Parts: sequence; C-alpha cells; structure tokens
Amino acid sequence: MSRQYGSKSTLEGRKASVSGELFTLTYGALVAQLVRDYESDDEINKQLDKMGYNIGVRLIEDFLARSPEVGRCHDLKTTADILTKQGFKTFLGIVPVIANWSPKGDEFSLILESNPLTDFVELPDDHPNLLYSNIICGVIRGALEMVQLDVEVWFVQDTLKGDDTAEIRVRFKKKLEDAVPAGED
Amino acid sequence: MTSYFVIVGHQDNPIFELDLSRTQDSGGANESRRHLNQFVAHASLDLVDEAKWQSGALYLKTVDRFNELIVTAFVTASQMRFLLVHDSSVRGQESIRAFFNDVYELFIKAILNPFYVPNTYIVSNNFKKKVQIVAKKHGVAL
Amino acid sequence: MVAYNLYIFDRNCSCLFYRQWAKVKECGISPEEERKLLYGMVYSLKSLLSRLSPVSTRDGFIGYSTDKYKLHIYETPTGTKFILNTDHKAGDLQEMLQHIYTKIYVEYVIKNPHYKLGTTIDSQLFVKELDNYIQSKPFFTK
Repeated sequence: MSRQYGSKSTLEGRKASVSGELFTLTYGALVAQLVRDYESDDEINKQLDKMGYNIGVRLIEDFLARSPEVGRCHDLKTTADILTKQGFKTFLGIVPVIANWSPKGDEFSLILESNPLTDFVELPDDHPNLLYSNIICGVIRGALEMVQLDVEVWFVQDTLKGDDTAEIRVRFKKKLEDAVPAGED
Repeated sequence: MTSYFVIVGHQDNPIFELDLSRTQDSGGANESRRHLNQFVAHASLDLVDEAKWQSGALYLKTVDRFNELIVTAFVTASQMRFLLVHDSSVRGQESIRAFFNDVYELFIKAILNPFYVPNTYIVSNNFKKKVQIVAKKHGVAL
Repeated sequence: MVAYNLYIFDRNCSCLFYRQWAKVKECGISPEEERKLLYGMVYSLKSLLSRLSPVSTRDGFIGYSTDKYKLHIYETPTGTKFILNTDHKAGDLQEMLQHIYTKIYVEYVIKNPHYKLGTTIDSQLFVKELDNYIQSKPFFTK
C-alpha cells in the first residue's frame, strides 16, 4: 500500500509511502490491543466500527479531493461502483466484486477475494464473534454518510472464520438532506 | 525410530513441540520416549549456545549426540533455537537444513499474527499442520 | 479583481470559517446574523433554482453577480460550501475554489487529527496557506 502526496504545497512535496506489512501489522496491533482492553467481542466490534466511522468521514474528503471528476451519485449502483473501483482501489489496493443485489436494489454485497488487513492473522479460539476487519464497515458508513447516504454495513462472512471469501453487506436506509436554516421550510 | 522437533525460546522455554515419528509403541513406552527426547533436547542447549557463536550461519548442523540420538540445530536471527532430535533413520544434512529453512519461514508468518504474544507457546493448529507438511516433504517425518 | 471575503459552511449550516481581505462595507448586523442570512439565501436560491430549472432537477448553482460584486460558490459532494465574494469583473473561479478545497482545506483541516469535524477552524497554518494562495493570484489587490 503506498500513499503519495502529489501536491507541492504539502510539506515540500514529500512523497510518503508505507509498506504493506507495516500497515497490516499496525492494524493488527490495534485490534490485539482492543482485544486486551475490552471484555466482549461485541464491544470490540463496536469500537472498530466507531474508529472506522471517524476515519471514513475524513477519508471521503481526501478521496473527493483526489478525484474531482467524481460528482454526486444519483443511484446506489453508481455509488457501489465508485466505492469499489475507486475507493477500495485507492486506499486498500483491492477491487471488491459487487454481488447479490436485493430485488429492490437497496442492498448489495462486496465480495473481497483478498483482504490486506488479514494477512498473517489467525483468530484466537476464545474470540469466536470477533469481526477482525470491522473497521472497514465503519469507514464505508462514515464516508457514505458524508455524501448524504445513510447506510447500514456489516460482515456476512469472513475468511478468518473459515469462509472462502469475505463478504460485506451494505443496505441503503435513507438519503440525508442538507440542514434547513432556521426560519425556512 | 525417532524424530522430534522443538522450538526453544529465550528462557529455555518450549515455544513449539512436535513428535514427527510414526510409532506403534504402547502408551507407557511412548510417554517415556517423549520425556527422553525432551531431556536430550534440553541437555543440548548449552552446546547450541556455544556453537552459535562459532558459526555465522543459522544452521548449526549436528551439535550433540546421546546414544543413538542426534541433535541438529538451527538458530534464528532473533535467537530462537530450532532443534531436531533424531536417529540415523533421518538421512542427509541437506534435507534437515531445508526443513529448518521452511519452518523458519512458517515461524516468521506465525509470529506476525497480531494475536501471538512473542516468546509464548504457538498454539495454532494451522502452524502445526504446515510444519508436518514440510517435515514430510523433506523426509524428516518418519 | 478584488477578493473580498470567504466563507466555509458545512451541510449543517454552521459556518466553519470566515476570512476577509478587502471588505469595505459593514452590513450593519452581527457576524452571526450575516452568516445565517448568507446561508439562508444560498439555500433558498438553490431550492428555487432546481424547482424552476427547465432542464433538470439537479441544481448547479455556482454563484451570482451584481453590478458591484460577484458571489462564487463551490459545493463538494459532502455538502461543504466555499463561498467567495469578489468584485464583478472576476471570471469563473470554480477552479480556484476547488484548489482551496483539495489542496488547502483537505490537507490542513481534514487531515489534522486535532480538528473535530463541524467545529470552527482555528488552524493558523490553514489561514497562512489560504492567504498565501489568494495573494499569489495576480489579480489580488489589498
């Protein structure tokens, strides 16, 4: 995974890149610390989601700044496309497959054939409900909320639990509107 | 016939143990053989520590003998000691060296697991299975 | 061209940032009132424009011009609005506002972990970079 700062104005045009292993290990250390700090798997999953959310609400601005050609999405299909082909590609270097659309078109799955977060990882036996990569759900939720899409995101299956692929489900809840200034309707 | 593999940590504590011999011994004999292997491995540690300063290589070849048992050793850069206690039915220094190198690679992957606490016993079944596979591959498992 | 002042609003209609360079006339109301008034006007204009549009229900409001000054607005997909007032001779400044968003706002505000989203921006570094950028434009006059 490498991050490059193209603009001259940013710290004298510094080019920073981080090795994939360091990234994976950093995330691993973070999850391992949470596992030590919290009692229940549910609580750990919640913390990961919360962290992801806080990343997502900022990451989306960085993403839009890099890709000024991306405008507002007007349907969920476009959103899913941009999320996978550009969002995931930029930040994780993978392109998940979009699958399993619900008949109403308000729900879809992201199939991750590989997941850079889970390299080297083996879940401890005493944490059967730990969703190791749950931070991704939070990031998606945070990022989409900033572009006025209220969504629910959760892991359906995970390679760490012995499934063939990881699957993340995204459900569209509602569209958020700009706040109405006082005295207007 | 004996082939016993052990990884020894910084406080002379076992990090991983695997008996690679196929045996028809009854329970009691099995048990005493296991203890003998552990004992021989443990006794060789001083010789391993001596040998590792005399060689720049990770692979230290044969470091100790006890009756028909031979102890061959490998020390990682992080001073983890890999020992193979075996008899003459395991043949070839080269195959043991290749076995150690493969295990070293598996070992590095295992300690990169964020849930593994360094210098503690490796409980992963996955790791155990993979060590068994490379042991078969290099003719170290009997 | 003269750049008078710049506002940044988030989509919850709070004014995150205000900076003036060459504003000459006071509005006669408190700054809070003035910002509320501006946001209210932009909001109403946007909804009116999309309702009256003969071609599409999507608004593409980028500003208006009087015979004295011109208001430029750049809105990101996240609903952050950059509003710049200049004199009426200015051309299309969308690219300039986009630069402020991508290269200054995102870099110095969003990527600053100490900045809490939705609060007033008080980063001196951001102000400095913004001033440098605006003042580097050939048209800038004090």
